[in-house]
Amino acid sequence: MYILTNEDRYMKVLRDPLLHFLVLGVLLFLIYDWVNPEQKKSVIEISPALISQIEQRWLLQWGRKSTEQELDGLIETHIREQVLSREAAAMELDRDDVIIRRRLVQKLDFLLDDISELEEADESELLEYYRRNSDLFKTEALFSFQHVYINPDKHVKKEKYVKDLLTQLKDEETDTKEIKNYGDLFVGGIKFTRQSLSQVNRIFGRGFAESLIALNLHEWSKPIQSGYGFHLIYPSFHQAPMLPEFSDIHEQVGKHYLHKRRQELKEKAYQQLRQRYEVKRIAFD
Amino acid sequence: MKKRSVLILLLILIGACDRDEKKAQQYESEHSNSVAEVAVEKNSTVSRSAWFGETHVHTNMSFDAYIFNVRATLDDAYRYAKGESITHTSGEMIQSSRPVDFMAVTDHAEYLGILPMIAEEDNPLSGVPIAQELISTEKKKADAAFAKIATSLYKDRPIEELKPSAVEKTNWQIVVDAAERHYQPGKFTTLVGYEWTSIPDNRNLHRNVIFRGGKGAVPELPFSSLDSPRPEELWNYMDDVRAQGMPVLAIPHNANLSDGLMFPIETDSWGKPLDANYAQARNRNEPLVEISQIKGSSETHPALSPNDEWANFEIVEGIIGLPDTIGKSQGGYARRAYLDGLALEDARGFNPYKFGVIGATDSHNASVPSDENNYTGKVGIADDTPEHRRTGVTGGLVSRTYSASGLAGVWAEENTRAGIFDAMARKETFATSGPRIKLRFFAGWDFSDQVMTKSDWPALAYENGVHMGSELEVEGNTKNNSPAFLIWAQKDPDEASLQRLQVVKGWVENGVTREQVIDVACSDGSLPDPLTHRCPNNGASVNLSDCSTSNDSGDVELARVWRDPKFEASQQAFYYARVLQNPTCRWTTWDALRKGWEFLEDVPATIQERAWSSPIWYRPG
Repeated sequence: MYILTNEDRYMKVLRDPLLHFLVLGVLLFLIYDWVNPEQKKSVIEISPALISQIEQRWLLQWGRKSTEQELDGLIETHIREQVLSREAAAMELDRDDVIIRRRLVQKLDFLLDDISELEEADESELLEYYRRNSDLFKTEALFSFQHVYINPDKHVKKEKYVKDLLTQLKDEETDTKEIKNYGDLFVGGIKFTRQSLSQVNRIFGRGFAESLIALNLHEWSKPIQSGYGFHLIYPSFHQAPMLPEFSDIHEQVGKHYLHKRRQELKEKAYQQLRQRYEVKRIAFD
Repeated sequence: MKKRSVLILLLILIGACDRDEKKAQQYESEHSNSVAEVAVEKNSTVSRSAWFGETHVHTNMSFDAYIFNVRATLDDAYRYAKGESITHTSGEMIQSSRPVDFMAVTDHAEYLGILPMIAEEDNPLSGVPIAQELISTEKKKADAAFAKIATSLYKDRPIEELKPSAVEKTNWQIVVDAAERHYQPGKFTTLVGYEWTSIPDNRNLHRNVIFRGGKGAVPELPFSSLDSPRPEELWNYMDDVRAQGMPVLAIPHNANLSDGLMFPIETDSWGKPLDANYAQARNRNEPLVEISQIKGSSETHPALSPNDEWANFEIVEGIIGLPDTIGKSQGGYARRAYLDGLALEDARGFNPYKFGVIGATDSHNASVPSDENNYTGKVGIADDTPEHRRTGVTGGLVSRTYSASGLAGVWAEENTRAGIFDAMARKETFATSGPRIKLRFFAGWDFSDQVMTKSDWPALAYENGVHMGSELEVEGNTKNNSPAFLIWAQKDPDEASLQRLQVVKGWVENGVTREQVIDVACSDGSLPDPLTHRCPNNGASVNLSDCSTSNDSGDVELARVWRDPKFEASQQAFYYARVLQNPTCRWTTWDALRKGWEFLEDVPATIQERAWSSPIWYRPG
């Protein structure tokens, strides 16, 4: 007769295939859990700082504090926006959207602006900029002159008329002359004092002031043409474009300089980023 | 947060760069150096010069401009006016060939500045559903969004979520501040203004509202067509504003797109019969009408003026938003309105249509595209490239029928807000289709035929006669003769020469209105035919391979002391001057030449640019 001892009973259980299956099953679940930890929830933080930000924005836009109901609504909107935008990003919905791309570019642009903003210009840099770019800061040329106008429609023998007129004008003293008695009536005026280049061109047409530059002062000129006809000019004053003193236009130079610096830094930053990309142009098949 | 405040600081700095530093005190010292001494006898106190300006331009603050991708700002508009280059939706920089003397930026009061706010990150408005469609950069979406907002105006059903009043006030202040920044008395005038965009059932009743004052001297909020689309209620608002010491005037435009509703002859907008109160309110508030701009000219129509060989000028006669529809001409053109006004005076004792004229562009690109050889379109991506302009249709109107028009001409003592506004209020203004032609028009009883040979004739004209825009009093007529009209035009020095000077007369004869166009001065020494009142053809032509014109024909100046051979002291009449340039290339031809395209067949290759004066009215005692 075979009598089962306790030991035998344990061994029997331990060798039971069902137990093996159960243990293997549990092991599988444990291993699975270990390899794939349970999906954690993403966190959307509603901090006092965020609430304050939302409130500030509202105040700025609407000129008053938001009510409790409005604030709740805004927070809810924020949460909804976070959920949807994160999901959208996870689904890569932002990849081929031109508006999103442009907006991102705009944001980076602002950031680059911020970076270049941090650097203040010092006096010696400004002075150097002023010297090297003096053309940007020069004032316009100034002109003072009188003129006699010849309307080409009113004279059959234009050249002779102009020649005779010039001889007459050159013969006498200019200062005491009644200039308006010579030539044809010109409604825009006959005497001009310290007019800038653009002011003269506004009255006589484009390019007229430029043709005054080469004239000699205090003598009657050869006929100068405008869109209106011919003019005999008696220049009394001419000032070439002038560079004002650095101290007088300090602020203007500063603005120019900062703008230029900003552009340069942004370009530099872009070039550095560009280095990280290789452009492959794919040919047509 | 820190980045944002730095960003705001940055933006303020950028804004400061554009702020103009000249103050009124500087004007005093500069004034003596900046005005040419005109050869005028000093015994006269009136001495006025011609100033050219733009009174109708839009920026990104206007809903429709923004929708069509325009991002040019208020500052950009003023900088363009002063001759600087600005960005265009095409990506190119655009620039005028020369500055203008004054500008009123007139963004739509409806939804003013709302769209730029929607595009701003985290703006509460960006949560509004319609908002995102409105700022799309795709043309189809933009067209659809424009249609939505436009419909809200056609049907007078405001989109409430886009209308918060605190925001409107802020945006209006932005407009006022920009005008202040760029105002340089004596050098460049900015006028505060906006557009009242009334368009009931697609019929255009738009007006530009212009204020005389600046910051602190204009109302807190503009009166938009969402407040009311009825002109009579706009006039009530303006009367109120004026009563508070703030002078203001309104300038209607695009009567040609009003389907005849702009100049009614029977009833007002409520269907009430017109009366003297209506006429007074209209004349008091609307001294001027804009008769030439990008969306067509509205001096007259060939159907209304069959005997005017030049009536078919830049006619755009559709209805906005309704493609392939033609609007009514009666009630849509200035000359007809003047005649109807005379007829109403005769029949009912009041004349609502005694307005002067100006031109403007209505550009929505913050630009002034009034030159044929530099036409850069009207509204953003709709017509910013030659391709878009050639084939595009916007709001039901065909882009290639649009004009590179116009400018406002004003006779004033000085280029300041007071000078320019007062000239408009007294109607001493003229319209041009773009060139800077100067036009003078006076009438009086006692002028000799030789008066215009005197060098100071304008001063004499002011002293002994009335200027354009005025009524000629009958009292001075001791001899029962025709008044003498002193008419003078000078070409734009950068444009083609002048071809002919005309008088347009309208009168009432036996209860019937009549009109006539009379050539009064010809170029090249010719005289008008005494029977037909027409100058001979001066042979002017355009070389269509390069748009060059010769200066052999045409004159620099045309002038005439003219008396009306058919004047009847018992008949009411109006007279205004019109002057025509020699032909030049139209902008469509410039585009075609630059692109190597064939010329279009449904628009003319050449154009005769012109200027029109405000009328002078005669009423028998």
